[in-house]
Amino acid sequence: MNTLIEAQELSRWYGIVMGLNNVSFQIEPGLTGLVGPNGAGKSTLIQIITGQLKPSSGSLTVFGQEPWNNPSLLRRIGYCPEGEAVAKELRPLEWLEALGLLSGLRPDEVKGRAEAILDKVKLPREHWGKRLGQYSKGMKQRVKLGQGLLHDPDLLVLDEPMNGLDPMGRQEVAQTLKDLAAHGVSILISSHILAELEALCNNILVLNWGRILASGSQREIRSDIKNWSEELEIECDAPEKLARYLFDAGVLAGFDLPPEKELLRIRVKDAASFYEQWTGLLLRSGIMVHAIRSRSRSLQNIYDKVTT
Amino acid sequence: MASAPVIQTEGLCKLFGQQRALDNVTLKVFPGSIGLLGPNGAGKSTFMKCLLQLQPITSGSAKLLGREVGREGREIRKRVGYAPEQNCHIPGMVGCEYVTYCAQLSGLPFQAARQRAHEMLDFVGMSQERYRKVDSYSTGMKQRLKLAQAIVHDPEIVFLDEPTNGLDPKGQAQILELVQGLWRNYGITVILSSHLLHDVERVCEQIVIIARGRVLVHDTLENLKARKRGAAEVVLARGHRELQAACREKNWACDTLPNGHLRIEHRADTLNPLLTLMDELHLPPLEVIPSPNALEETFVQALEISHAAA
Amino acid sequence: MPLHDAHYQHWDGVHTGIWTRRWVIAHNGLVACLRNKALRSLMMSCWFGGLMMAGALFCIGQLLVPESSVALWVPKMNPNVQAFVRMLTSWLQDHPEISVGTTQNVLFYYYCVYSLPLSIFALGMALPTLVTRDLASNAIVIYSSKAVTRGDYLLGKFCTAFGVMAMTWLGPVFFGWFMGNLLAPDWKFFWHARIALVHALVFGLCSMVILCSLALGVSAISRREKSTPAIWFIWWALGLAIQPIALHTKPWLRHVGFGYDLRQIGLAVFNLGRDLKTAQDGIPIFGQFLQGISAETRSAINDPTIFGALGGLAIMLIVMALIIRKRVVPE
Repeated sequence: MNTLIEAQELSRWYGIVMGLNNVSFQIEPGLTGLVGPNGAGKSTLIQIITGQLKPSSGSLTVFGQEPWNNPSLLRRIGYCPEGEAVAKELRPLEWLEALGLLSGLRPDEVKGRAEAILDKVKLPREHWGKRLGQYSKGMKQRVKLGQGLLHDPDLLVLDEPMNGLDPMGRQEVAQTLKDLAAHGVSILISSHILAELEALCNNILVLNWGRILASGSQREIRSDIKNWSEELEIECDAPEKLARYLFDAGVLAGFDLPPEKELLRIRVKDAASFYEQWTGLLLRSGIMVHAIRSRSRSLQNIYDKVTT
Repeated sequence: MASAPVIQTEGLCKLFGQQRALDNVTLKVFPGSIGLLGPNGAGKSTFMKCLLQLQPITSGSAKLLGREVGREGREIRKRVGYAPEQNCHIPGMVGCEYVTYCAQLSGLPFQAARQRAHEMLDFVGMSQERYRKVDSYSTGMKQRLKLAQAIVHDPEIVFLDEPTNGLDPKGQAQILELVQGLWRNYGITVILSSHLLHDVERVCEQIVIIARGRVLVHDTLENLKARKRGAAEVVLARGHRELQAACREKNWACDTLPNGHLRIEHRADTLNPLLTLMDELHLPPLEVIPSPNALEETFVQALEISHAAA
Repeated sequence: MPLHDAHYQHWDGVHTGIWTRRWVIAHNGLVACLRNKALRSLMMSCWFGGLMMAGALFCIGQLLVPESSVALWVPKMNPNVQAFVRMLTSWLQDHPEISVGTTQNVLFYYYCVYSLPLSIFALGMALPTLVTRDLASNAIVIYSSKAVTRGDYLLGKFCTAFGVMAMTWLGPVFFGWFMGNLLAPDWKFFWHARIALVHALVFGLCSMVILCSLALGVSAISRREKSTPAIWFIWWALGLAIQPIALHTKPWLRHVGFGYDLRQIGLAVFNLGRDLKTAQDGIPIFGQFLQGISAETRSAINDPTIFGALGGLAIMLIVMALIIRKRVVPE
């Protein structure tokens, strides 16, 4: 699989202030999530990818070329920024048509394209006549997404695309992004909402203090037995009974009965051998199980681990 | 334990010109942690604003903490806290000054206000920043400050509007933990209005969904999940294809999600049938999460029903 | 060693009354105003004016003390001024119950009216801390969610403006009156000068209420901190500029300026016309000075356009009330 974005010893400094510090990574085509605390360097990285900033040293290539001062490459990249900065006096169609013309679309096709895009991002037609300054946060977000898609990019870079959207809107945008990905468009999403990134993206990139702390696909992380958790949380009808059973089976290194009823937290001695017998043990205990959660699996926990 | 409802509305209507923002809303909410959900512009924010008297009611009655909202505004607001979505600090003031001021406005005498302001700033995890001007605060600090001013006067009920907005994951987790503790440990009713269903699922025990000016759903989260119990999200290390084939044989719907998880509809009350299947295949689960996205599905379903009825 | 419970504690004390909360709002506004260094300097200069006033009264009082340096200085003055001063001195000696009151009344009229601009300037500087900043930062929402109503909030902010004016105007006026009479040769001066104080307080309180209400309204017009003081100063300047023009074209246009309207109220309260006539009777040479005043000024002094002024101010206040009602709402 060819690499979508590749960084080699990329650094970006603002005088003494660090933006990115000697990062090297590869992003494959597909849906990638970019996550990190505030001030981690996500905005700097996005700005370099979208050609707004030049690296201080090292290199970053998108589709094999450097984005800085490269209009032909930038034509293949769409960007939906954070923040609510839109042209307040214009109506959405006017705004999109102007941007479309700037991106090189022909005047005769730009109007049809703008309308198609607004339909695609599901902006209701009754609002098309209002000025952007009057829009709610969610509606502005849809227009911003639209302007990123206008020129049919091969790479779409999104900064908090779901901000201000209600759950239906979030689902719609997520579906739109999945459809785009299915059609071969690569998508890079920067967001603070880990649960959504987890549900949407195959690959994740974790940044902090201008450095990459973790990268890879969620599957990769999971399929490595070294990463299998030794801590589990089980929701069942009789936690004490289950704890006693597992203890008697000799697999536990420790357990915890938190005040929340019907919950049992366990630590196992040896992950590999434990998982071989796991389902069998549960079934033979005769206790009704409602949920099994791993305490150090999800993106939240990986994030917590690397960003302390 | 019989307790009085904290929110009680009867035939509550709110009109903006011709538009019915709230249409005959009759609701009784008991103390607890309540998630208030709803699409944008469909009455959720209007409902909250009417209760807090930020908007006048057109008709009907609304009682907050047993008192009529229109008549006893000041008395009610001594016991109600509100953290709005947008930033609303008074510029030029220092953090602890601002919280002290807010406490005084809610009726606390100066000594008590100052004391509680610092206690609440400790509670929300602010250290030396409290002596800096609020204009210089980061988003995380501003959210904490908002929470502090909402609870400084020891309210019985607190309204939080998107309290994790703009925060990074760690900040979100910290705020949510604080909010969770408010009801669980200190008995303060929390009304959390948010679009992030995962947050709501984590913190709230009751759910109210308002759309098209009406209450579509008002139930406990447990009940809502119980209705969706027949599905589970399975996280496997390997053997996805085998499991999918086995599910197809059993006529259980099985989808692969983008993150590699499998969503299986086993239509049983507990996980045991699914575990039996996995045991037969020798596929250990790393995680099995029941009724995943229960809240999201409830939400979507409720909206679809209301759309159809309209 | 037992650990203390440092977790969230409940509070079950007694809530404060509504007047305390209103005072808290006013106090907070005043503190915010006083953070402005320029405003603090302006306040100091206003008190300096009061000191000057006290000095002037002191000098007049010293005319009655034969060995004082003021009395010894009189022979060195210009002959006309000397004659005036001697007549003034004898009037003060012979009829103190009228002369002291009249002199101080006239002096305080001019002091009150001509020190008013400083206060108007101070109010302009304080405008952002009234409603403007709260509108810009959405703090109105917070106020609405606390145990205060919109009326309490406005009352508190009104008191902030009132406090600013008290510190820049009423305070110095009272200070000038008190110190001037304290340093007078006779305790009876306090009694004789009571009428000047009463007039100053009546005029002061009326003007303060009116100006503070206008300031509150103007501060609610816009969210921008630079706009509202600009609107205030432009309105004031417009009022001043329009005086000479309107006098010859449409005299009622003069009432657009609140400064002019307040001066009419001042003339009516202090009854300057009557006092000047009394002074003329007491100091014959004073009449000669008054001859030099134009007929226009004389009629302006003797017949203040009080109804026009009150009407103009009433219209302004109604407009301000409508602005406040529309703008001061939580969104």
